[in-house]
Amino acid sequence: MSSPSMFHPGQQPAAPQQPNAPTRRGTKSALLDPAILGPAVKASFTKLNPATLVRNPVMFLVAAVALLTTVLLARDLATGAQGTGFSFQIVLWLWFTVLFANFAEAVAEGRGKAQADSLRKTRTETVAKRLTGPMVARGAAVTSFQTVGAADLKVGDHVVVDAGDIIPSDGEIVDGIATVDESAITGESAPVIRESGGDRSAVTGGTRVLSDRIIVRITAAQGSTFLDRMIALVEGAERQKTPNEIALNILLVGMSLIFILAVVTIPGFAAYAGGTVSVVVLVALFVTLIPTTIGALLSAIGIAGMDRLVRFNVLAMSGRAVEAAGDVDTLLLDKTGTITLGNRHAAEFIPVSGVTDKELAEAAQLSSLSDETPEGRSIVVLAKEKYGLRGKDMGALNARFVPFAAQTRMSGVDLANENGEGGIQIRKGAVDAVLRHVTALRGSQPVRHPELEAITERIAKAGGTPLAVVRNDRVLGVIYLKDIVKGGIRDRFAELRRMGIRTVMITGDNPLTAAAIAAEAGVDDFLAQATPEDKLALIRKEQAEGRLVAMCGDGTNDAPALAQADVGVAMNTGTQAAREAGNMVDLDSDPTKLIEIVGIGKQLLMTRGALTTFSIANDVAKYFAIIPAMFAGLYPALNALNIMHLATPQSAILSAIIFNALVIIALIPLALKGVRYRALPAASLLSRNMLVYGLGGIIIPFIGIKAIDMVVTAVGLA
Amino acid sequence: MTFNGILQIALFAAIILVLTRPLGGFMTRVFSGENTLFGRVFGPVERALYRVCGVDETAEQHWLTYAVAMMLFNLVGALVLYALMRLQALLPFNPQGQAAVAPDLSFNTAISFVTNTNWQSYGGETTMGYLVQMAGLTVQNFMSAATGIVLALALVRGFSRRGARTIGNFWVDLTRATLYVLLPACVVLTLFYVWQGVPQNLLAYTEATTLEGAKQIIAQGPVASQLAVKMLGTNGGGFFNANSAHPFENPNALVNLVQMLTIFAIGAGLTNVFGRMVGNERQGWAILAAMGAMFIVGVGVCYWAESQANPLYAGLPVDQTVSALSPGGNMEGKEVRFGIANTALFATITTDASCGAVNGWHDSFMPLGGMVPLVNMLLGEVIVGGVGAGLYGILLMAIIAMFVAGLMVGRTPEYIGKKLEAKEVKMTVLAILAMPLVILVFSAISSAIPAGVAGIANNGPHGFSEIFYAFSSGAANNGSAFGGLSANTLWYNVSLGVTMFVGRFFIIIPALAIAGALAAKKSVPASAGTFPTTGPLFVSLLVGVILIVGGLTYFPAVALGPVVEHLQMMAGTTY
Amino acid sequence: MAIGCLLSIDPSRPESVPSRAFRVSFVRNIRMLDVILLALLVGLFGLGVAYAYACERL
Repeated sequence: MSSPSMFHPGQQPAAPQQPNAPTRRGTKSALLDPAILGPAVKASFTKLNPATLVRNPVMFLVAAVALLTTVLLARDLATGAQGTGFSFQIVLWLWFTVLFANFAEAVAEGRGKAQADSLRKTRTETVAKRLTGPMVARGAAVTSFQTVGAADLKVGDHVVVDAGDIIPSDGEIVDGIATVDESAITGESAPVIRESGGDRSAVTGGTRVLSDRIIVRITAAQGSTFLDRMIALVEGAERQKTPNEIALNILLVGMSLIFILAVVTIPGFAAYAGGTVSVVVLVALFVTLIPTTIGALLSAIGIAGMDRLVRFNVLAMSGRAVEAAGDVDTLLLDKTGTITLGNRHAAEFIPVSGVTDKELAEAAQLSSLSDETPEGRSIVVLAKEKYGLRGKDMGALNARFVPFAAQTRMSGVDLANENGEGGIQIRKGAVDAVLRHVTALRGSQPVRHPELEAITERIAKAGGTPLAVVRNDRVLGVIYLKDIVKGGIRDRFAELRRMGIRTVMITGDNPLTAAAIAAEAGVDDFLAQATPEDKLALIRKEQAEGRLVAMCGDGTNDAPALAQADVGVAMNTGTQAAREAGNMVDLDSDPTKLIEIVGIGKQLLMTRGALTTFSIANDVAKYFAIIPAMFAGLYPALNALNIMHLATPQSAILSAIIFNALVIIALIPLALKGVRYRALPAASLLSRNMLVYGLGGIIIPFIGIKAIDMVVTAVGLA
Repeated sequence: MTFNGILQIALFAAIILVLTRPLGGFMTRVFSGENTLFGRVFGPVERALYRVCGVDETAEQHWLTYAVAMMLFNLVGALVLYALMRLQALLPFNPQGQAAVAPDLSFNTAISFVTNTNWQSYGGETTMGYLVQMAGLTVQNFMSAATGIVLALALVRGFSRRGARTIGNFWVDLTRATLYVLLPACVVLTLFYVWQGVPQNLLAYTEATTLEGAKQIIAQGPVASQLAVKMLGTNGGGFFNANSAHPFENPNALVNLVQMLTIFAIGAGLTNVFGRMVGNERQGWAILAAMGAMFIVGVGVCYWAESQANPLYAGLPVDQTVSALSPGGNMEGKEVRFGIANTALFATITTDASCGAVNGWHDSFMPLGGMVPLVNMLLGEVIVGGVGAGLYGILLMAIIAMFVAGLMVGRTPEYIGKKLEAKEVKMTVLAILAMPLVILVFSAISSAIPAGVAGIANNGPHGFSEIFYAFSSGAANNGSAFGGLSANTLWYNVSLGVTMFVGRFFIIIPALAIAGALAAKKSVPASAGTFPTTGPLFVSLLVGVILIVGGLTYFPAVALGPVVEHLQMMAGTTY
Repeated sequence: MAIGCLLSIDPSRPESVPSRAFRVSFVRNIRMLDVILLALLVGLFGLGVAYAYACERL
């Protein structure tokens, strides 16, 4: 634009949000919380139930061989065989391995369980006032209703909810407006406004009406309400294995099968050399080799991932959705509210030739005095700040405000002259609408105004919205309304780009405006003049090219797109249709969160990968500990492989199995917290994680086993 | 280790690198059905074959159909081969009057040649007549090699196709691989070998009187034609018992070099085919780089180990130092014509690829030197590998590598734009399980039962190595023998037969299933969030996964074989 | 490659044993072995095909 002042933002940008640091509720570590630890210890034992264990094949194998060695130990004790002390210790640690795995899962579930309990408390037996008569007219007093239990409500019933009442079930407001306290669900204490019609009509069962009276049409039966689903989700009752988890489990089972082969064939090899290997030692080798670390922590990682989202105030309807979030290639973001602040602000008055700045400002101010929209108010503010024009009293001016109408797409003011008739009409509105208005007034051929059009185009190119101002049929100029791009958003998009995620801005603006804002915000692409159908088509197109798409939305017309997107985040303030179409609900209704959701999804997958790598890398040290010990009697020369210089064969085997069990406990915090995630390209992420978890996974057990061996020897256990 | 030796190894590697791209380009054109130089010559033959066999060359097959066609084709091949050997005495072209081959040996040999293993529990010149050598063994050398090539191709198509139900036509692929790739090359190579002094005749053996007056029988026959495909198709089954250590099967250093080159040529070229077909040649080069790194390390260790003086000879009047007259190091079991460098190189190449031809005696290698061929096989022969088998083998490892790596970058794992999900992981795991299953189980049984232990020639860990090597060689479809093991017994013939079968087809079938599953998927476009599979990081990751998977699986067995033997040798213990 | 080439090569496999009575009994034995081994061979390939179908289902 010609004037640099046009870029002056009308308002300070909001403070940039801390990227990748989800604002969490209850960041207290689950491991330090006695309310979680107590039940978790108990659950470690109840989870020994084979029906539960079999869900985790690796730990099931460990339990099976632990049972086998226990039986063998009992037999040895009965026959009074030698060396039962050593066997006893091994058996003990085998069971510990299983218990530790159960404990990890129980701790991960703990926080969700606690949260579900507190949610249940809010779901006290509510009473509903069900309307009995025919739907009364809008605004009329409700006279006839009967009081029924919330459980007796059916979908389609109408209930009346007064101030102080708890909304009995999910529904849609059909009449009235009320402030609602949704803290039971969102944890946010500030009340929200819910009203009939539009995109804020949905109410959630279990929330409380603070003021006014509303009539609600019930949309969910008891047991399938949002609160019920939320309880089930945070509790993990409906937890299904996610696709990647299933695939990883297959790999772990495969690895275990390979190690079964590697271990059961050892007695054959030993027989050739003229020796035998005891079953306990073979079992010890087997259990240390199979990927117990990741096997034990796998479900804890999944649960913790969901939990991270919950604490971040996002409800994922399935683990699959969380995983998909990590895979997202394209992010569709609505311009308004996500990329820009919700409202546009007047930034400049641009008069056409022959009109002074002040004249235009005055007309603009007059037309906006009674305009309570944020845009209107910003015009008044600009006029005051820049031209010192004070607010005037509408009544004294004998003015009549003409509110915005969808038909005219203009608003303005009619000023009567002294005689109280035939005065001045001031109108502001979209340029084409205003020109049509002028045409109508003159009763002529369509009016063209090249200068006005030039200004309009300049503003559009700069990402602004032009509002033309006319006094009667005289065009005065243009108000430049500017979109305010949120502070820090550009950096977030750059970060997403580094992660390989493309951002697409969706806007109803014309292409010129959209392009300018897209450039300013730093998105990769934009979809201008977008209709819901365009949005859906764009998602389908991206998906056809093999990309995964995430979007958020709140309106009913967003529902098809939300359902089509791989990750559809519905705003909690949105309509019921939107909330049902998406596979996540953001309780804070903050569209920017989509970016963090992607991070949480990635972190979940990374944690699994890192611990798998760590688990497998650990095996190297375990072989070096156990193989020389196992054949110490047959081939003393193999002691050269005892590079850790473990004290005795017994201490070596014992140390390996103790390390194997303890490492599960040691890694629970990592499994719950997730590995550190930074927005980096894949190659740098991988090399970093390979270094930490691959190389670290090889080295750490050498140190750990040696240390445990020293302790075991010092204490005299072996 | 001498400069000259290292230079020869470098020369070999350089020639392979130069050959890779042109060969890859040529094969890509062949399998895409484009016109090639041979198209005009063999085109009518190809079309005539389809007409005679009733093959519709435009009809593509689902992976299951492809797999069944391949199995049936190989079954027929095995049955024909079995019959030829059993009926040998009644058939023509048998001037030496070789008797019928025993049933268990026929069983073993039939599977051996059908699976591209070419494990030989027999001595060629004393067992097989010319008809069996030519119409039986040589034909299977072509067919098993072609089978390997087309299977790799099917898997590559899995990666390169999008939303496809089919992965090609087995009969068309097989015909093209034979007609356009193997046959022309073998004709040229045969002529070259004949020129260099390899026999190619149908004569009876010549009886000669030596200078000392002793009688010597000089075996001959149609050697050159079999030799060509034996190397090019990574078959490795020798015409003579001594294989490529026999002067008629490897007359001079030039032939030795050409033989080594032809072992790697197609396998290396196929990595380039892979790159071209998935639309980025660098993908192929990355695979070849991983192979190359492991090859260099292997040959380095082997050459180094064989160049060392045997500590047990210290103090004995044996000169093991390098001098103008002596190569130094361990010359036991090596041809003086080839020396240490070329024997170590040959041994590494032949076990990197699933060839199994030898020009020296692996049994006589130093423990660590002998461990290199063993480890090469245990890693699944993915270092260039058998024609086709090496490529699909390493692609399976790449799937595992990318699965773990993909998780670690926070995305659903993918490779070449294909998401790796439960189905692919399941099939890869099944394929990877096949080798340890037969190697470990049969080795354990053989080292515990009398029928197994009876076959070994040495006591102690070396004896165990012989057994372990045999099953590793069989399962990896290599066919080289450590030596020492008398494998022509009912137990070894049958158990090794089963081992070779499982090691071949129980990898191929899941690999084809993966091809089918991948072909049906759409392709994910690469972004900065995708881990690039063309760089050094991918290469090291792939090598790491291959070493870790192989190492963890076989650590106990290798420790009890070559490792303990080496440690004991250092301690002065022998058996 | 071949086994035991440094060991003596013994081409006198049982079938070259001339004794007539011995030969008759041996031929019968070998036919039995033939049937078993051919059945094993065909069985292995059958197993392979079944495995392929199983893989499709898995």
